[in-house]
Formats: sequence, structure tokens, C-alpha cells
Amino acid sequence: MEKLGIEPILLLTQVINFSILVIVLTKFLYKPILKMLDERKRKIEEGLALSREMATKKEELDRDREKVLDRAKNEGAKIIEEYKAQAKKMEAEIIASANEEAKRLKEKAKTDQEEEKKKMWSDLRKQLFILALEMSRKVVGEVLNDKAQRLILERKLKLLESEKRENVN
Amino acid sequence: MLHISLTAEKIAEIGGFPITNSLFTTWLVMGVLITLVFLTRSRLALVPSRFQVVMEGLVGGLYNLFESVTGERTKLYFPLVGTLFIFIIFTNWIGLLPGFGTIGFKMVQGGKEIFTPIFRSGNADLNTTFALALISVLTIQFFGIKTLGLTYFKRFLNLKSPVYFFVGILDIVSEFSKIISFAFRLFGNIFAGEVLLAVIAFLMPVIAPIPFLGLEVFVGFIQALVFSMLTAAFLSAATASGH
Repeated sequence: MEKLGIEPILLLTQVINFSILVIVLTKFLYKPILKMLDERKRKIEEGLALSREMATKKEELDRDREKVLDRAKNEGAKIIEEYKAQAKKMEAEIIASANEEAKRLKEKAKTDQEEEKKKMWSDLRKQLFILALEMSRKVVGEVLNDKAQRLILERKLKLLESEKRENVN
Repeated sequence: MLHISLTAEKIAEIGGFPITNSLFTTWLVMGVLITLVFLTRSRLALVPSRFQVVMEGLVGGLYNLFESVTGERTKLYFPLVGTLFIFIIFTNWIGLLPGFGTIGFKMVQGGKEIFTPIFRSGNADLNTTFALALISVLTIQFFGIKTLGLTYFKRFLNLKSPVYFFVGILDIVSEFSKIISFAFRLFGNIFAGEVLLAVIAFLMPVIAPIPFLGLEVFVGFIQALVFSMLTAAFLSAATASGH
């Protein structure tokens, strides 16, 4: 033992040295570092799980948004279509009513004119009649009695009237 | 003349307590390691610095390595086997630095002037390797008893049959031989390495030692690995219930 250099006191010192090293390294190196590694592992796992979750959520949201957009587009198109149809219908209606109105006005104008004509004619006739009566009275009065006068006059007037009617028509 | 000494030389004495060059180097290694530990500890953060990444790689890598041997119980054994690895590899490698075995002073001993180097690798001293071997084997026994209770002793003393009895005796011997083999394997390798380097440096001091230095770096790593892995393997064997 002496030849190999083994001395109990040095052996014991080295045992103590190594024990100190074990204690210090365990307490201040292994435990904190292993704890830190575990914690980081946990944090990274959490982060990855979160990002996965976010990705799926984003996908979902994108899908939803697309769906909403599609629906809005469709609805918009439908509304436009509806309004177009309605506008066309209204246009037709307006045109039709305008036509009708125009026709009605034309008709009315026509009838008014006719009535006027008729009235004019009847007025004319009346005046003519009176004029003729006066004239005949003046002319015939001296020759015929009243009764004969009237008879002749009426006959003449009828003739005149029929002639006039023919002329008019 | 080439200076080779099997034993560590005494460089000082404090109150009858001898301080050898290998003990001095051991303290140096301890100082370096403890400084590193506190540097790491004081800057420990969830977002690591480069330095922290290195230390984490070291500790985490070692932990994974031993986990492959001892499994779930690594948590229990890691303080011992991890420190064994780190201490042995640092001690081995620090012994390869220039100045080890060459810086020293002359000391008069028995009428002769003897060259005494200040630095000597801790593991090139049987006191250190024996201390490590003793701690390792005693811890193996401790965990064996702690895990299996009294049944642990059955492997040493089994009266069921003469064969088992004989095997038990062999097991007792093997426990003691573990101490010897641990101590001398490490000491032999490192001491031989130092002698080899000294001889090569003596014969051809320029260029020639370089490949041997590389070899010794490798040997230092392998010895640290062997010592700690064997301890881990013995630990898991000692705590296994079947026999």
C-alpha cells in the first residue's frame, strides 16, 4: 500500500472532496437544469398545442367567412334580380298605362269634337229654322193662312234638313 | 533525466496534513466545476443563453445516456453517476494541459535532489481512484439494501443449495474486486497515459506527442464513460429483484 502511495488521510480527503462535488453539482446544477429542461419541454408542448389549435380555428373561421361571403353574394344577386324583374314589370305597367291614357285622351278629344259639331249643327239648325220661319212668315204670310203656311214650311224644312243631312254625311 | 513517479508527490504540508500535487489538482478541478456551476445557476433562464445551452446539453445528454441504462430510477442514481462522469473527465483532461508534470521545483529528499511537479492529474493517484471506487461500490450496496431490504443479502448468503452458497461467496468476492478493478482501471489508464506522454515528449518533444495527446483525450473520455456506465449497470443489477 505504501509503495502505491495510498494514504488513508488522502483517501478520506478525496472521498470528502468527491462528496462535496456530488452535493454541489446535484443541488446547483442537475436539479435546476433538469427542472428547467422539463419546464421548457412543457412550455414548448403547450405552445405547439396552442398553435395547432389556432391553425384549426383559423381554418374554421376562413371557411365560415367564405360561407358568409358566398351567401351574401348569392343574396345580393337575388335581390338585384328581383328588383330588375320588378322594375321591368313596372316599366311595362307605366308604358301600358301611358298608352291607355293617351288612347283615352284621344277618344275623349274625338267625342268632344263630335259633340261640339253636333251642338253646332243643332244650333245652326235651330237658327236656320228660326230664320227660315221668319223669312217664310214674311214671304208666305201675305199669301197663305197660318195653317197652310206652317204645313208648307215644315215640308220644306224637312226636305232641307234631309238634304243637309246628306250633305253632312 | 526523465521523471516518473508511481505515487503523487507531496508539495506542501499543513499541520501534518500532506498536500500532494494530485490533491491540489483535484481542488483545482473542483474549483473550476463549482465556478461553472454557479455561473450556470446565476444565469439560468427559460430562454437560454449560449452558455446555458452548452451546460444543458451536457447535463441533459448525460441524463439521457444514463436513462438508457437505469431507466426510471435514473433520478436517484444521477447525482452519483453524473458527477462521476463529469469529475473524471475533467480530471483526465486537465492532466493533458501543458505544464502538468513539467512545472515543478527541486526538492531535497534523502540527500538527493528530486524534481517535484506541482500539477498531477487527480486520477493518476490511487488515492483518488480508490476513493471514487469505494464511493461507487458502497453506494451500490446502499441502493441494493434500500430497494430490496434484507433480501439483498440473499445473493451473498444462500443456504438453499451448495451451488447457491458457492455463488454467494463468489458474489462477495466480486463486490471487493469491483473496488479494485474500478480503482486500478482508471489509475492504470491515466497513469500510463501520463507516462507515455512524458516518454514521447522526452524522446521527441515537437510534433510527436500530438497524436498521443489526441489518443489521451479519447482515453480520458472513455475512462469517464466506463467508470460511470459500469456504476450505473451495477446499480441496476444490485436493485434488480430476480436472482
